[in-house]
Amino acid sequence: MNLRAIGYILGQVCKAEAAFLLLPMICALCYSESRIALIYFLCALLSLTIGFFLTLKKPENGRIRPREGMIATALAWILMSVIGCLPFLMAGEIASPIDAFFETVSGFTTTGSTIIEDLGTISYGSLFWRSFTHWIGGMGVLVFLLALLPSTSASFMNLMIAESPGPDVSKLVPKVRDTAKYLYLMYIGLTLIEIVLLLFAGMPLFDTLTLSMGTAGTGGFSVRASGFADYTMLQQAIIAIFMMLFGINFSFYFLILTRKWKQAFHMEEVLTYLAIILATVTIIVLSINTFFPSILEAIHHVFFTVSSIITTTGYATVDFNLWSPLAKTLLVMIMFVGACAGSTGGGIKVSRFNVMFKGIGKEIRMLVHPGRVSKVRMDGKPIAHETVRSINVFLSIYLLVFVGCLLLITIDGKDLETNFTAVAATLNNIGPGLGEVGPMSTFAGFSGFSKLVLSFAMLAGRLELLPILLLFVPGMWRGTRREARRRLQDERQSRSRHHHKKPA
Amino acid sequence: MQIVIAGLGKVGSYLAGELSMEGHDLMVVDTKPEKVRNVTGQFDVMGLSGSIVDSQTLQETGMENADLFIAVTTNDEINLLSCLLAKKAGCSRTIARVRNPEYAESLDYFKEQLGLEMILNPEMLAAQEIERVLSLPGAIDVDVFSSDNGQIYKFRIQPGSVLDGMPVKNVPSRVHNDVLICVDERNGQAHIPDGEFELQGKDLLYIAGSRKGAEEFFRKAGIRNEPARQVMIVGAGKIAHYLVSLLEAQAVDVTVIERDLESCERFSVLHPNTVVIQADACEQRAMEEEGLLDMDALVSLTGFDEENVFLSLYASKKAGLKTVTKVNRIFFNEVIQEMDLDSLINSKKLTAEYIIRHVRAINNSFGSNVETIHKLANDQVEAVEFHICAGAPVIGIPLKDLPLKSGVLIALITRAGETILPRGSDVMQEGDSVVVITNRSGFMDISDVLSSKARGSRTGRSRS
Repeated sequence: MNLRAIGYILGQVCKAEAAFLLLPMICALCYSESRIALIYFLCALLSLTIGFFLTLKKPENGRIRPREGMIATALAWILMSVIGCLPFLMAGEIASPIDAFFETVSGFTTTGSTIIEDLGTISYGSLFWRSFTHWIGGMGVLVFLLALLPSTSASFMNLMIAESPGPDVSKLVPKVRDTAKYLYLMYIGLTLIEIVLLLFAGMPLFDTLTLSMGTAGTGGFSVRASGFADYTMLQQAIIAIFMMLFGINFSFYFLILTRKWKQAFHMEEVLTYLAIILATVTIIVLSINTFFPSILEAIHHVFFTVSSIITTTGYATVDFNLWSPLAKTLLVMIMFVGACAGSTGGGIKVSRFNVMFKGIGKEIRMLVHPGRVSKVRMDGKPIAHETVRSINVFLSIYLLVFVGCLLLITIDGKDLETNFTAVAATLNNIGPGLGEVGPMSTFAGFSGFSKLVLSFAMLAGRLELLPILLLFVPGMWRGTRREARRRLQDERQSRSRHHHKKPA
Repeated sequence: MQIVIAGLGKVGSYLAGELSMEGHDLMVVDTKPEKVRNVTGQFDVMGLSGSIVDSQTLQETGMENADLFIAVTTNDEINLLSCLLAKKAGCSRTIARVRNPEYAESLDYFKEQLGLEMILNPEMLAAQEIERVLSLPGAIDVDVFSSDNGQIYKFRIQPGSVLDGMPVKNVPSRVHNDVLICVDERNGQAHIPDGEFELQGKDLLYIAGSRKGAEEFFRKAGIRNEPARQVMIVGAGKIAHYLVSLLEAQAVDVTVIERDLESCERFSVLHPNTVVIQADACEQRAMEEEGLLDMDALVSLTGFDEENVFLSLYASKKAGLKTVTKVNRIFFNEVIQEMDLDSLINSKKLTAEYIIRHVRAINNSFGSNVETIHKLANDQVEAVEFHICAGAPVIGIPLKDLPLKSGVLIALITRAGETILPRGSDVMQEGDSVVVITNRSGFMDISDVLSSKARGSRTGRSRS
């Protein structure tokens, strides 16, 4: 394990977070909350100091193997959440450290589950910070760093693989740095378009900024105690459409930007994703059309809800907790499906289901013709056996983590629907569940232990399980000491050689 | 530059590594997904698995925007055809590797008809390289530049020889005046020596000069400078085939040893005047019977690295022969270099370096005026050849007055086909080719040799 390289990356993350923390400070200043602004400034300073000391010495061996990439990513996200929750504590807006940590993890992982019962007590600066964490977490802070850091090493790709969602993370262009840059440019571009549209639709500036960031990261923190009831149908519709757009694989947008229309509109994953949305909306509208005054309004609210759940955003215009059992079951199902790989959304991801169903089809065909040779294909290209295998393993681990978390939070004694959907909503980074954690209530009722378990579920879900789980594998850390010793020896040797053999 | 490489064998993956380090945008294609994964895991390149002659794959490589296409798959015909397809897809510059000796005569025709930028024959390159060192056995390695006159020669100082213990400033007066000492490599550490630097036995020394100057220098320094007249080649493969043709043109006696009878027969049909012997080169009796110890040089070209290495060690320990050893695996280079083996040949690396040099030359037309770059002393030192364009800030200033950066040495100036060993009073002129030795890297323009704050006194070594 190359601890120095990991430390260096963590240091860079701290520096980036210091910069991020300045934005809520500016926001607080605009609303003349000078105390809050000072708190954010101090946190930024603290973060910068930590970053400064961690990056003091650049490691000569910057090699990042897949394992270092995963560990660095997992630690970076935990560190970010710990630093990110300090302002809430210092401002006294959230009293318990566990609650503050839960809230920040929920922000960075773009979950949007909250423990704050009354948003009216929160300052503008902190509301902005909550939504901004969604935006950072959506595309990922390491991808952000990759776009900025001058890197020539291919090993940085391992950071991107660990942080970006999807079974098979690939580059858009040959260089990691350019890929990261394009991803962020598209991300910023789409966010800006949404902001402009919402402003045109007459939404107040603060709500526009925070909700756009929440939509872009597919987060889900709202900024008003009243939820979405204050916004017009048009504003809600814009948000619904953008939620859907941010759930689409960003390769799709890249193909469109490079004018490869045919390839773009033949992406199986995107087509499946849109088909699932269409089918779910239709069925739910049919099952609950008596619930709304007009069919148009029914379609509007159902589309908003489906788009919000499948992209794992978690905004709600209506309390879907009151809908018919069929509708609620369908919503729980699409919670697990999630958005496309390579988007900002969470969940298991549509492409994994694509591959899984094709794998099932292949097995069934094998029963008919035992000798038949066929390969699972995606977008016309055969998929490597390892990818298929890793998807199957992912699903197994997913199930185990899900059951484990469910068992642990059941200790609190809540009912099954609440517990089940609470884990589903956090592991899939959605936000609200059903029952006691429905869209109109919060996660405040859980015990501290359960909140930690759910924080773990959120991080595991956002980083797609393996990086977080790897932290607990002792074999990962083995060899670290031996490596350090060898490095020390090398250093001593080269120093002495340098000393003796200096030319006359 | 946007570069597409097809084929990820040893050459392809080496190229991918080097070119991506130099900042090019690379797309690599191979039919085997595991090879693609291997390369994309190591280097910052984009991979694609599929056959390059498949139109779908070709389209996905983004060939229409590529500046250069390099075909180095295992198959000559695919290399040639894919270049043709790449051209059709809109990539104007293409390089193909063609190895089959049967095509050797037709290479120029292919190049012209298919509109290729360059056809490479790795075995031919290796044979030429071997021929160069055999003609001046004292040298371990010879680096050539675009103008054929000035070259850089690498050799080892024998302990107890006249150079052992001599300060560099005494070399011109005591040994020979017509070469320039560029780099001294001692225990793997490269130094660009100044006048006070004391040479030691076992050092590897790089000198620049013309062929005649180097021969004279070797003679006076007591280093073998007579071309090898009797050469034994072990292994009758493709390199041996080209090498024998080159050597026979110079009336060198060649004995070829090969274990496989069929290969022997094929070889003797092609080269009726060469002594071809079917024997196991690892048998002492057979080798001594064929007079290994009376030869001038041994060239080990079998397919097994370990056999080549041991044969060469044996020949140089037993009879002090000049040895040339073919080594396939780049991985063990570091260890092999410590084994005191004379000249090492790696045709894969040679090919890759040839291509890289060409890529740099193309880059050069996009603004930089570097013509060739050679890496010396395990990549610690670069020998960069610049073309001096009109208006360069170095024109017309005597070298002793040029404010050079530290660790920069002007080694050779070639003007109108004539090589000049630069002295303090010489000047660079427009149209010259200038070779600069430096332990810095990333020189793109001749003005990069100048120190940022132009000091009055010269920082480089002054020669009188």
